[in-house]
Amino acid sequence: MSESEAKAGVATPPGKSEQAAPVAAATSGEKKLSNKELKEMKKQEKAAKRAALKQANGMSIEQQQQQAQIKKEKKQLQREQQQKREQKQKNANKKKQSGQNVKKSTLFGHLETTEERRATILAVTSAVSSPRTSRITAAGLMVPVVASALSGSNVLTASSLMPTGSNAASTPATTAPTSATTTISASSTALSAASTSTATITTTAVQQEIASSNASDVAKTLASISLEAGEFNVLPGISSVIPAALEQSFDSSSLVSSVKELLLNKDLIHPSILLLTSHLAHYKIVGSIPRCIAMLEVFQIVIKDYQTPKGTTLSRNLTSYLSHQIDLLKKARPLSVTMGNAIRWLKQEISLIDPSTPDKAAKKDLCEKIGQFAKEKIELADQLIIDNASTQIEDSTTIVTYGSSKVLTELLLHNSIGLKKNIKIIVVDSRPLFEGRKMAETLRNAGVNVMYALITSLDTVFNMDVDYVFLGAHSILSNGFLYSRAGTAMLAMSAKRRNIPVLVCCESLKFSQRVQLDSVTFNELADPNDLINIDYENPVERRGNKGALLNQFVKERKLEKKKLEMENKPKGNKIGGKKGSEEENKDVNDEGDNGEKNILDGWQELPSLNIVNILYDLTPPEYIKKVITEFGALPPSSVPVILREYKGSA
Amino acid sequence: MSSQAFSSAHPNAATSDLNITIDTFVAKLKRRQVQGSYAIALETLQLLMRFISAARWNHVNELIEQIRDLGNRLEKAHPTAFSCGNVIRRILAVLRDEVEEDTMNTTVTSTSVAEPLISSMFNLLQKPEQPHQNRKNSSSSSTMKTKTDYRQVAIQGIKDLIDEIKNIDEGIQQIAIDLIHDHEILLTPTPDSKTVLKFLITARERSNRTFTVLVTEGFPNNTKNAHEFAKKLAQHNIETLVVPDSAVFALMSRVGKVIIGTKAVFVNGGTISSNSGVSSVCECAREFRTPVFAVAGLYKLSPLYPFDVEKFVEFGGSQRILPRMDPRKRLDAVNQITDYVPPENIDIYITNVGGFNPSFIYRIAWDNYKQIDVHLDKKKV
Repeated sequence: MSESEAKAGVATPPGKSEQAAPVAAATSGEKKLSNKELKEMKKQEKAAKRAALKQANGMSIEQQQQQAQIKKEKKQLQREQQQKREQKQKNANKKKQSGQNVKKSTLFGHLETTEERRATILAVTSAVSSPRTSRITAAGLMVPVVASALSGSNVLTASSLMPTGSNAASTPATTAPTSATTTISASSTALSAASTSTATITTTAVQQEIASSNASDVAKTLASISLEAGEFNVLPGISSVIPAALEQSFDSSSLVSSVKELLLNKDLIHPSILLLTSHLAHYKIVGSIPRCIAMLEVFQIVIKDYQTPKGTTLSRNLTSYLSHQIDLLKKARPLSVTMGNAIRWLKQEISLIDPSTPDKAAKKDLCEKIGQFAKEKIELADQLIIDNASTQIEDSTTIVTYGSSKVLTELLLHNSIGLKKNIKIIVVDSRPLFEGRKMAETLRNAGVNVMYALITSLDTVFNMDVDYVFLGAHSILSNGFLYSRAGTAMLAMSAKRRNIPVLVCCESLKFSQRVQLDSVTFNELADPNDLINIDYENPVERRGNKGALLNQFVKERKLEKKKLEMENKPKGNKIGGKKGSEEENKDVNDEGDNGEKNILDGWQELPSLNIVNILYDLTPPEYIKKVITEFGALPPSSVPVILREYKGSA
Repeated sequence: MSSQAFSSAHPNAATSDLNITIDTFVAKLKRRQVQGSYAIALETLQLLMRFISAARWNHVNELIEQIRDLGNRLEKAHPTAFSCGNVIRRILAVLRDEVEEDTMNTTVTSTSVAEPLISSMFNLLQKPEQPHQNRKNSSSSSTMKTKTDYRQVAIQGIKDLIDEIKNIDEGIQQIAIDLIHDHEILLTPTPDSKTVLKFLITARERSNRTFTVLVTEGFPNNTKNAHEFAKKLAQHNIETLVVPDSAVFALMSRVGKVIIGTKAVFVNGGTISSNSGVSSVCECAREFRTPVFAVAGLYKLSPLYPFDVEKFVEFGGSQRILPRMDPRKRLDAVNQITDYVPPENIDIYITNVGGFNPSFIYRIAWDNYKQIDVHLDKKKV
């Protein structure tokens, strides 16, 4: 990165100095000065420093002025170009938006789309760690920044992707209140010393900062810097990524208001929650039980790090603090029923805490209780279910299952390996998640006789002398309907029509108070783009590192670099120019290769084409012979009974 | 049937050339290089036309036997390419009709009595006698000089059949359009069917109906077709939703009608569809009391009876549903390519000659085929 660029980063982006300024002002107490004056002062100060440094390096004043003039011109050019680009993008976005508005499918218009959820998460995460937005986008929407910083690894130094200038510019803001002035001077000296080393120096400063304060404070400092005006500050390299992604989907007012609310409380959000949110949103953690366990684990961390603000008590404030975390979690994917039940339980537990107990003891107590809850409601319940269901499975039976279920995998392993029953298992699976493959492989690796089929081959599967159908559940609703992975209902129906008993294994934690009549009214929409690729790869694996945002970011970075190169060699170097164009050509070709020619690739442009990717469906109770829970086996109609009992006992 | 026996019947040089053509077509069928019953039917007819023009015979029965041999070879090459056998049987029926007419004209004997009886249900059980009688008649007439040019008859029959096959969509569209109403939601699990595609597009453009079409993906064998299908529909301004196969039950409550394309329709009214998962979709539809209508050209009617369904359903390799795995820990995988839909899950068949209940299909079949030609591999007793 050239020196000039680094400096441009320090001096120009108005957003940054503006932000740095109020913070500095707040700490020094000089509130009488307006922002502009402060800015001017800082600029002058920096200019003076730079001048001094350069003079020390052996540059005359005239040379300096000349340089400054050149730089100014360059900046002007850059700005103009950027404005032009932004204008273009806005136009393009408008076009896209018009398409996007129609894109809500006719049947599921009432449901929140993945796009919307993603936009919200993006907005919040970018707000929480905006000085390092580039890294967020580089990781494809994820926010490993805060968490990794906490874990002490030096991910921060690996910021070679970022323009150093922006990094340097952001650091004063990040490290704001206490050491604002020192870091500024530090970074400025660093800049003059060697532009490449700035990154490391400033990051060490940040790390020191992190080390000195505790986790929640860091989160707060990180959060407090941006979005004061509700505007997203944009770094040169990433001009379009975030705004484009956001603008596209922020068209409904309700969405905007929910995002605003989240942004207002962004400083309360714990970094580990952000990490969990990204994991959930990317289907890295799937299944209602694993999701619930992950959430409880994170809550333990959150509660450990929680500090009661002055003037309130833990039992009163922790609940609302947790609700803010949950609000964000909801944006990853709608909460699973298990998560909802666990949260309800946790809030009740918090409210039961005696206000007089010291925070430390109360926190410790809560964490223990959470652990106990997970053990009781999930581990022990699973054990009971396995014991109960094992009596159903005789020797040499054929069992059909669908998708992947934690309890069922354990149950089948227990029966096949532990009890040495000779059972044959047919795992039925479907697009796009292919969860059944995981289960089939686990069973197969353990030596169980497994067959794998897709839901399109149901006919053949049921011609194979099937004795039982065992199903997992996401939730069982109060009216006895089974709410589970899409496709379950079809399997249950086929089995019922062939008089094959359908058994559901389900912890009572999954029982829900809700009633629902069909799968369309309430459901979860997954990303329709998962259905575009025609292969047997799981979308999570497929996405891997080549997120759309990452690609866009890389592309923009390349353009930016090229532009800078061109500008740095003002008149001539035709060879360089040629190279650039060649590279461009290559890029185009690469893109052609990368964009595997999927038939539906630009489906958004076709106004009447829609892709529906619903995650769940409802199985009517008449298809289900019995539900096996830790309370024993019962018909689906008994769910509300258990719910009442369970509520009474808890 | 060996090709040697076949070629021995045609010692001429011209026939050796024809034999090569037949052999390549058989090879193509074996390798499944001809896809789609429409293409198979047309290619078979072209081949048959060349075959008949080159064939030599003393009596028409010899010609019929030769055609039967050819049909048998082709059927053996691709037992589930039903349209291939169907068109050959159709031509055989044309020839046999002509023979019968001739014998009727020359010797007004018991055949005239037998004719109406064949088409009666009461004679279904007496079938084995019928061919016997027929053959007696024909053999009795064999001594007489054939007046009609059977080659001409057969070739004209082939030409007519080609015409019919090419114009099938028109006939189907006219009937089927009346079955859907405005703003209806349709679901089709057979995106590879050109008949369905053309029907939907004409319904949109010519009759100007607005409707929504749900297209199931048919993973793994037909997803590409499904996406192309959806794209084409959307380009014709039809509201289209691509749904994964697993979501069919969830959406079925919203669907007004299910349209399926067929690969072969059997005399019991059951059908083989060229996409897996169709039978589950039809089962769902039955469960929700959603009407299912199947579109089928007449050439897809097969005189076979699906006693053993598994004989007719095709299976594919597992490479399309599972990634390469550790050979020691392999999984058994099922990849069904086609699917059998029982007649009770289909409400109506729309053919180019009209709409029929599945229970009536047998009747249409016997209008076009002769019982004697059902099993081409059975030799004369």
